[in-house]
Amino acid sequence: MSNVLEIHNLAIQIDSGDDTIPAKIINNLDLKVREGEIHGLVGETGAGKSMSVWSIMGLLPTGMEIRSGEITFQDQKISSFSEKQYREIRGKDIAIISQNPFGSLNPVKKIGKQLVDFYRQHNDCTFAEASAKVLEELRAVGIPDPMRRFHSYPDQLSGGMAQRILIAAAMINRPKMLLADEPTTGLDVTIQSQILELIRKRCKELGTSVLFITHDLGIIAQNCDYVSVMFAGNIVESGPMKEVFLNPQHPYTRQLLDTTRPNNKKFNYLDNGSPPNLKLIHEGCNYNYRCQFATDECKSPLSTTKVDTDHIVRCHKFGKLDA
Amino acid sequence: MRIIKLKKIINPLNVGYFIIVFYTLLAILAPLLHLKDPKQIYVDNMLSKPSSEFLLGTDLNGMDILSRTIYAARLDLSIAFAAVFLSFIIGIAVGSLIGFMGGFIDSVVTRILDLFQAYPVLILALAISGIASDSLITVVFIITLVDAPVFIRLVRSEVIKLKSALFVESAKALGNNDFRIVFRHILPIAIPPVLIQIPIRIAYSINIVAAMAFVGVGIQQPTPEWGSMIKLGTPYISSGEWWMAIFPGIAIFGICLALNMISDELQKKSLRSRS
Amino acid sequence: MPKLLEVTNLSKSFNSDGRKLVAIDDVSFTVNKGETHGIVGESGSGKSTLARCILRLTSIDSGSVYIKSEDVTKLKKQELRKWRSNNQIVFQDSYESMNPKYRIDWILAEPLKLHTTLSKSEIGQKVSGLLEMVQLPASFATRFTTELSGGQLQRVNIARALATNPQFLVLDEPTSSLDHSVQANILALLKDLQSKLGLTYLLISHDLEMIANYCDSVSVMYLGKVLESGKIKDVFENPLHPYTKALLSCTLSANPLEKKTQINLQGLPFSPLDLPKGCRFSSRCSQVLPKCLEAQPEMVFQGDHGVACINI
Repeated sequence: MSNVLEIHNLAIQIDSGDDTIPAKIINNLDLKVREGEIHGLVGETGAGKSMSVWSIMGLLPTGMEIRSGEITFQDQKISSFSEKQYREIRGKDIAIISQNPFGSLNPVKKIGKQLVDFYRQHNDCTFAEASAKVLEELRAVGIPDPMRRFHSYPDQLSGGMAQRILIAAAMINRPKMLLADEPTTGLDVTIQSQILELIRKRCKELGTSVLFITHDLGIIAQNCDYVSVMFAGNIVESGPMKEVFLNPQHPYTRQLLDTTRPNNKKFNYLDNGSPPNLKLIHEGCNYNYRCQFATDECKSPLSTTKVDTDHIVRCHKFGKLDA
Repeated sequence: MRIIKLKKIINPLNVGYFIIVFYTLLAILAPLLHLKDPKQIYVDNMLSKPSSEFLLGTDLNGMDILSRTIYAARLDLSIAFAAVFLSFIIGIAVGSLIGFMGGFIDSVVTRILDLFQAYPVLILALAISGIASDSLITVVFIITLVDAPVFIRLVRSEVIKLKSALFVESAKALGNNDFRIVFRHILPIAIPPVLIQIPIRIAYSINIVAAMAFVGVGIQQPTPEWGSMIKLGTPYISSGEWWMAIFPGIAIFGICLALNMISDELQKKSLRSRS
Repeated sequence: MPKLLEVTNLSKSFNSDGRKLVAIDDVSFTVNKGETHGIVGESGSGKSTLARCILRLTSIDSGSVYIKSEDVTKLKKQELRKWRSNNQIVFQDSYESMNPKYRIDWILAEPLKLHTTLSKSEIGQKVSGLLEMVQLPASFATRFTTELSGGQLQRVNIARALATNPQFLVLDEPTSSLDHSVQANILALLKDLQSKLGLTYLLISHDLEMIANYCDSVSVMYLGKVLESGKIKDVFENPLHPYTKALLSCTLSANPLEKKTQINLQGLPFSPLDLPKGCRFSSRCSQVLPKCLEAQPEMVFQGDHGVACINI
């Protein structure tokens, strides 16, 4: 099984203006997504999950840039792509859906027109041909009465419906990879499960790999094959989802899993949950200020330890937590 | 180093403030400046060019333009400042009341304001001056009539915006009464954006005072006032006696420019702090 | 266990451009002293309106709210303001619920200034005590709200609500905008304070996991109506209403070995502007019968466990 996406040793720097020390918001990031895999990326606000997604798409905002490392997509080094090259793969080979579907839709254009225009950007065909394709895709995502939606405006849609349409738009060009950035956050839980099932089904049908970003561990546990746990711009633990969830090795992962079972915690670690100070990011473990096991050793650079096949962890105290 | 520091001090805001202070000081200290009597008629020097004796020349009545221009500042500035200050207070009092209470009172007062603001200022001024006397109070009254609705609306819109803020609801949940909510929570946030409007309203008011005098309403001769001075001097521009109208004109221009600069910079600052 | 809060037939509608928007309709439940009652529902269920009606932050159309045998709906303005010191609320958005112009010490002192006659120095001491109670350093007193993180600010929010030693606290989605680690800490703090101070909580949330972990009893709301209520164990282990069953099935467990079959609700929910005379859930229910569309089902109780469905 080949890797569709490979991020190797990525570091993203932010231009902090007055400071002489450039803050690295992503540092030593390694991530691999295999073909047909649904890979969950979990972390708290500010961990750098969205940043990683943008960097894959070449959409880092001004002031942020890739300092080192590379991103490979389908054996092509896309991290050194030009804007023109990026535009060719965006929406076609790599698609993205975000948290607020209405943010991606033009409020004054009909849905059908927007999707047709988008399709024709990447496919040479007539308006009629594109419309037929769009209708077919709307049906495939379970939208009842697609013709009616085709002629609707975004403000006539509910949140769940809008997200379905965005999924249709994302999948219409049969991308090799879907980046889903918290697509169900903010939706009612009954709608959420429908959307998740849709993403799972459609991607498995079309052989699309998914990088699913979320802070919700339940979503990961019930939908993902692999998971990477991110903290302060670094992957602290990664591997097959069952492995990581049932046998977590990093104190952060352990503490995170405990939050889902407050009345019968397995590890009961102390963690005050305070967000990291970007100005104090260093080459060692950046979770140390919150970790009850941290010692001076933890400030030194980390190495990746192999726990099992594909299950890796980055922690100085690996193997010593249960002593 | 010194050049950078100088550039930091000489910015539009400070230049504006400097000019305002300059005007205000001149106006306050006028009697101490050994100026000629602004109402004194110099029979031998009617319509004379700017000279060493009459630095800015004399007008057709033989009165010294320099002293008249400076003394006019006392009148124009005090009317404008007083009227705008009064309007500001009325704006807060009425605006916060109708904004917070809403409902019938709000609709009624807003309609009344619509009525007042529908009239062109000078028509309103002419109408009122026809009934009332040609005094300072009348002029202040007219300007306030024009400015107060603006401030009332500004305060009202800010209050309406803040009325539904979560911290206002929290304040209510804590047990604050309406009075405390308006004075302790809403106004401290509502007033700063309204304060920023003051410089530009003063500029506008000065213009109205001058315009009123220009059409023959309010302040009359021989009282020195920029607008009436310009009125007197306008017919003489083409015949060559330019100094009568130009200097009071420059005076108005100067202070309005300063006020505009201040207003611009304050607006920019407030936009920056909001983002 | 004595009752602290008793809500009976509470209803509230809003006027939206001339049309009637029903927010809550005939809602009833009780909360025992020292316990936590959960109100769970998705968007549009009316739970936020319920919170505001109970504390009289919004007017009530009909029904009664008894807190310690006192009818809250009948309190006059002055009495109401005094009553507030005893019954407080913590809102979801900690930043927005505090005035950005003031420092933390002013914010914490406000309820004390309103309801007590303590001197300035006594208030100062109380404020330090409050910060300590919510595990924040005393130095935070001189900071402004923008200088604190979401979690820290929510602690201040809790401290402010507890400043006048209330008996009853409404928690309106208190941790929904916070990260999981912070959430866990805040909820642990709330639980700890509850047992220390003998507080009674009304916990409003869309997060079933949170309700399951922190509540003693629960009411499940949908489009303004209570569809099911009872003790946590009863409702969560033996859900009776089709909506409750669907809701529970959609709550994804973080345990990968726990696989639930998700009940996918088909159909669209009714609009609160245009409610049917029959069951509110009928448009999405898989067990709907013609009888369901005729009239709203009444709440039927089996002990403490009540459900509003004719199909049980």
